[in-house]
Amino acid sequence: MIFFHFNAIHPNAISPRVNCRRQPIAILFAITVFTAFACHEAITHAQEKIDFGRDVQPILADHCYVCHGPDVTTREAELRLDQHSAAVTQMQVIVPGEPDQSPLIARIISVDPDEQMPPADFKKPLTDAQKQILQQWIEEGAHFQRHWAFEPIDQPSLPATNSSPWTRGELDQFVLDQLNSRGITPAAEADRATLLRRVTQDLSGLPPTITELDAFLNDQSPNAYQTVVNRLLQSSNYAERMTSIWLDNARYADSNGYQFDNTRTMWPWRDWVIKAYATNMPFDQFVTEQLAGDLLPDATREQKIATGFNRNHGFTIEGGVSNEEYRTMYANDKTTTAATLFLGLTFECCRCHDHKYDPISIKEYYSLYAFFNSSAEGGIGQKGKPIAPAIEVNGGHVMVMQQKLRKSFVLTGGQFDQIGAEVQPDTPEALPAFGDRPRNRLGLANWLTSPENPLLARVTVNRVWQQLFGIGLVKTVDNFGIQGESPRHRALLDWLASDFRDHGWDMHHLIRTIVLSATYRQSSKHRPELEDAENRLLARGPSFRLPAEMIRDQALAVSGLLASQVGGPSVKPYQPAGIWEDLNAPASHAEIYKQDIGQSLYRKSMYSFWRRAALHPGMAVFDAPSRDVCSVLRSTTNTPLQALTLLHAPTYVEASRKLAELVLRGDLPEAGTNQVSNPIQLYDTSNIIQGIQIKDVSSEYSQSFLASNVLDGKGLQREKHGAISDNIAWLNAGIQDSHSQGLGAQITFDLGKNYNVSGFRVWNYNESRLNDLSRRGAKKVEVLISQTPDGKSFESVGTLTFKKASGKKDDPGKTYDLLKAGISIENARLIRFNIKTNHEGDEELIGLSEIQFIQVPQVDLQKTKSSTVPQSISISESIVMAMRLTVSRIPTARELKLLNNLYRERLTHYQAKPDGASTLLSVGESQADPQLDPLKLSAMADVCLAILNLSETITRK
Amino acid sequence: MNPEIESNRRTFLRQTSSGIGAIALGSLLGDTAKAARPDLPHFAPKAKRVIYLFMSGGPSHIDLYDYKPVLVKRHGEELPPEIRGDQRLTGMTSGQKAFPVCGPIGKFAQCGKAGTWISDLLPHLAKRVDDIAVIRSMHTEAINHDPGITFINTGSQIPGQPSAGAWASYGLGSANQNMPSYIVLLSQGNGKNPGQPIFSRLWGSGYLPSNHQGVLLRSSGDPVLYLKDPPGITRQNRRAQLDDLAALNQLKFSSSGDPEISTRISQYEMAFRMQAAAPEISDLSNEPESTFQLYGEDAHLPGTYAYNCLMARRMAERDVRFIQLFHRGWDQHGSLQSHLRAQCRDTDQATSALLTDLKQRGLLNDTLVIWGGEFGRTAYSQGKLGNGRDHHGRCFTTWMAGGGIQGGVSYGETDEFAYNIASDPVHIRDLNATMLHCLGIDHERFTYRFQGLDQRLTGVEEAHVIDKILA
Repeated sequence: MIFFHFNAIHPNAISPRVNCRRQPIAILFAITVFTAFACHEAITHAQEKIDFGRDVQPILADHCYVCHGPDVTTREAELRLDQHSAAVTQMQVIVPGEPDQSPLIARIISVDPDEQMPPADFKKPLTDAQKQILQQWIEEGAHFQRHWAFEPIDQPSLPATNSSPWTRGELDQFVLDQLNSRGITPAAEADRATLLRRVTQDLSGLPPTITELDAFLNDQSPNAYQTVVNRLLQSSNYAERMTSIWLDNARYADSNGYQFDNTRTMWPWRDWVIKAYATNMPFDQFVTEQLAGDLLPDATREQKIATGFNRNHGFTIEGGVSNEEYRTMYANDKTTTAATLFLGLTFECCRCHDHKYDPISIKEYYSLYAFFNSSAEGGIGQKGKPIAPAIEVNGGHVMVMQQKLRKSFVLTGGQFDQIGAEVQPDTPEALPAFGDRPRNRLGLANWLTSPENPLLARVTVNRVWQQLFGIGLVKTVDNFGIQGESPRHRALLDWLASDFRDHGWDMHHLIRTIVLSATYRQSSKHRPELEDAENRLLARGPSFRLPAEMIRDQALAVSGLLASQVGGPSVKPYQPAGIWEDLNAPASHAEIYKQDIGQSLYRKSMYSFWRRAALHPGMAVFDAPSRDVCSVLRSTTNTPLQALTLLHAPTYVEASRKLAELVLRGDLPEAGTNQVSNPIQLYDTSNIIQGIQIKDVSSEYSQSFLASNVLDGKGLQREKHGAISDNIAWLNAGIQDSHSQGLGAQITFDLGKNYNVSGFRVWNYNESRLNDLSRRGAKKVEVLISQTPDGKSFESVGTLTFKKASGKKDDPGKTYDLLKAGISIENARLIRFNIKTNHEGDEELIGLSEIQFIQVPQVDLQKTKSSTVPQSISISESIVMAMRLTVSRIPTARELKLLNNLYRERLTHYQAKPDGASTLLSVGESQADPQLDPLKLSAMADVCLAILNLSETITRK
Repeated sequence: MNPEIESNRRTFLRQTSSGIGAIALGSLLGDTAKAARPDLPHFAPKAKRVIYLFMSGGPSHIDLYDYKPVLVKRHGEELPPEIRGDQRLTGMTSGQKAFPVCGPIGKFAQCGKAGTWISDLLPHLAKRVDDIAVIRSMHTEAINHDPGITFINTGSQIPGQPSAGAWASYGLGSANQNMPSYIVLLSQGNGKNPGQPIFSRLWGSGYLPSNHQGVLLRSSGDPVLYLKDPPGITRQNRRAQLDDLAALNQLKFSSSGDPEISTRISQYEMAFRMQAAAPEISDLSNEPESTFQLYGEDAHLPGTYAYNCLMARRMAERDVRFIQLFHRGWDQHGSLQSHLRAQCRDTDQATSALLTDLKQRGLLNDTLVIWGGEFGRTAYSQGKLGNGRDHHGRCFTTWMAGGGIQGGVSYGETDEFAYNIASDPVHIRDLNATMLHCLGIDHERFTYRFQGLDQRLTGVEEAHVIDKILA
């Protein structure tokens, strides 16, 4: 047997050492004692077989790896316990099946301070239960496993429990299986109003309007909920909601961070993200374009803007600093951001030394870093200017990536001037090989998004799960390494990940899978008897405090104040004086907060100017991060400062007054919902151009495939497309002949009058789900327009590539954002598609199933003052409306009584002190409705403020 | 008052004294007061709270604390290259052709029973040196402001880590039911005005729960943002509104069982108390004239360093856990003579007044006071001789006083040019370890799991409590 020594202080000692200075601990200790002391968990585990990843590795990692793990520089006695070959074969500290013969066990149970492992001065002693687990593990053969997250993602087989009427899909089978094994039944489904509120908040970031609430409550069809989900996914609100989360992840801000924190222009990148989500860009493409859009062949301007992702970190303009030091710092930031977001690994650790727990060496860190180090940017910026390269957008400059080859080296201790061995761009050995991909960011993106990559799909699915359940299946969303949490539902995570990946990284598909599940639909009522405060068992619906942005946006929405413009430069809403001035930068660097006027005061919070050094207090108080670094997890605190904000910040005082005006007038359907579900959104159905006709068509295959089928206006009836049979599509025959004559397959639409068109929504040809003929769908399509109805002069405006039909029953169609495609259709009367190829490549038969044209929204952003004559509406009715708007339910009798009392009390107060009323009504830029009695309005505003302050209001339940 | 409302209110208050309501009331008594870490303190603390006088910009140890006769004697001569060594200089002086030694601008004398050397630029502190432990061998790797100030406040040069105050708040919670546990005050000196900017992440909570971030007590407007009731709202009004709100929340709590609701009820109660407590802290009307004689007339003026020192004492009296003053203007690249003197004039009296005042109120025993900046300054001149000094991280001076610290002590030595450390180096990590020790915390065991690591304020490298300055 080889003797070994664990002691961290004496790396060279190789045999046990007698140290007389230490007193032996006078505790008798024998293996037999373990059982007596073993805690409940250990007993549970003792009954089943030990699982290395779940039971053993966390112990070894936490207590041993610092000296006996992957980091070679701190490794003691040349022993590593993270590999079978090292621990069992070479060093023989573990004898499989023989705990009594295993030196490891002898050392962990030893009471001799010189023998005992971990050593006392490591201050991380093992518990008896942990010792027992190690012992049992060796007894059972000491099987090592590769870390679970590095295993390929195979679609797990479904659990046997599949006959329950509760389950709505595969996801639920996994959950139910776990619940059954614990003898727990799932919670009942949430009531319809709660469910609507939940899914609407989750997918759109806003509460449902009363119209939406009523529509859902009255929709008796079995697909009512699916219809809601599809509506939500098509809304630009969805794109904004997803983007708002991505902004934390990608550390987006409107200032440079570091010393002076001057302002910058990165919002065009933010708008790229919105568009990507709005068009449901496949996630692999989403990642690729952001990481390496500039390296794509014939990279478009948009794809270059996407790479602003890599440039979102701060930069310094401090005098006297080293250019190289900061350039290096930025490359580090890019590296660790990508590692956290796309791999869920804590690469930051290896910047200075080999990882203590995960199999990542400092060399591997700098090999990954090398991908990002080859960048043209410099280290020190100037006030008001980007660090080149940058692209001009609307007068500002958005920073982007540009490849510039640089040699990369291991930087010892993470110090930019301590140059070690040269490294090539490469990915860690523990993960699938990089292969012969190009060694640049594009190759890296390709490697990340390849089906073999075990991490991207898992990590992404887990973050979406966190968005919808408040906590990830792996709680440590930022760490899928050995020190991260083992997934609570491993099979479920893998199933979701493989399903997401195998469905073309379709985010809509993933979200639909989750929100349509019975698991998601459960009531969130707490079940204290399960002792599962964090809801890790998934035995109820999720409930958690809303994120900062959604709290404010909700107040704006329910009061009809929310401006729904999408994208554009960041705005400056109300902010207490002096927040920026507190930074007190020298005059040459001072940034002045000039509050906006008009609609900019009421934009969604994601558009509020994000200054890293002085975050808007209304955001910071509800746990929004400064975004100095990539953030994938926000805390949800509950503090008195939050109470003060909701009670006193002008945003909420004004919103409560506007809400009071709405409910006192009782004119909700007009004023309230128009503002809330405002039709200016790009993809809203109200922008679909109606009354289109076919002007002409090159040919039709038969009576069953007439061109007019594509315009039957039933595009939203999803069942039709790809599901049934004939009479649903247009099929063009004889194309080869027409091609030879230079005609192509053509179809020309007459819009009925002239429009500016912003998008197409296309259901491509499929014919039948059973008989998949989606290959006949149109592919390369030249778009031509004519401004006159006679069609004498067509102008080509660009070419689009239409995606193949999915062949699925609920195919939502594919929306093409013309702006994004660089196609401008202005003042068009006729639109012609000249279809050049189909998806099969034989070009014989080409077809389309359905098409919609979306016009550029024509909305007057000026708020119109309500001309509605105040109606006679009771205070109780007003209160009911305020509650329905705010918390999507009617108040209980007791609540109504309390709120009525509050109203009367406040009215009495204002009648005695009318001055108070006029002060209250003057908060905010919006005018109080002069047709309403100011005293009643003030009293109702106080009631509405109480409603906005309910715990329930700011809770996603 | 409407009898029905009153009845509801009574019903609510009755509910809160028993059953589910009692849970809410229980957490009224301090959800934030409850330490996040029940295992703390690790041992009996000597200090219950910290007042950190952070001097932003890099105060000159050479001119204030670290007396070196050689610098006087060799004023104007080139700094010997073997002293300067080959370590990094900032870009502001790395191109200089000459590095002339610049002697201290004031005169030094030995003061107090301990005979501590101190410059005559700090005449008030000179009288209090027997209360302080001067550490002359502080050092940091950072040589520029942003990383330097980030390092000393968060234990790491890389932005995003929790500040020391956030760690204290996280570990020990608040001892005050009405105020946040970590409060920050800002001021600007007349030396270099404006000084280097500071930013909220210096008192941020990093990966710790964000309720532990510092709360900026502002000198104009509401001391705490959104603190004031709207005009026309009386305290009784507000009380009644909050009762109704609590009753509504309570109803929902009963039906949903969500414990967050009861916590929120308690947070509204604390907000209500804070509305009274925060203005009370800044209400100086009951301070006797002797207070202003002690701290100086500036203490009447919100936003001055003297005022903030007085506020710090008033907060210490009210058991705020971690009070941090950021005073700017210590970045004397130029105008050394006039600017450094101005900085000292602005701060010296109030700093020593704070020590005196804490002592006479019996608070110095259990209040740890720390004075220091992010780095020191060079022994050689930046630019023309005597013009100014560049940043210097290789050695600088910090002092500590009060709970757990021995007064009248000097620790660590620099070489004869006050350029390199000669003995007993103290890193930022060691300073933080010592601070935590005074609070009864073993810095090695005070960890928070983030990114798979047990993160510490003192980082991964070794850190040692400075035993020799402990009381």
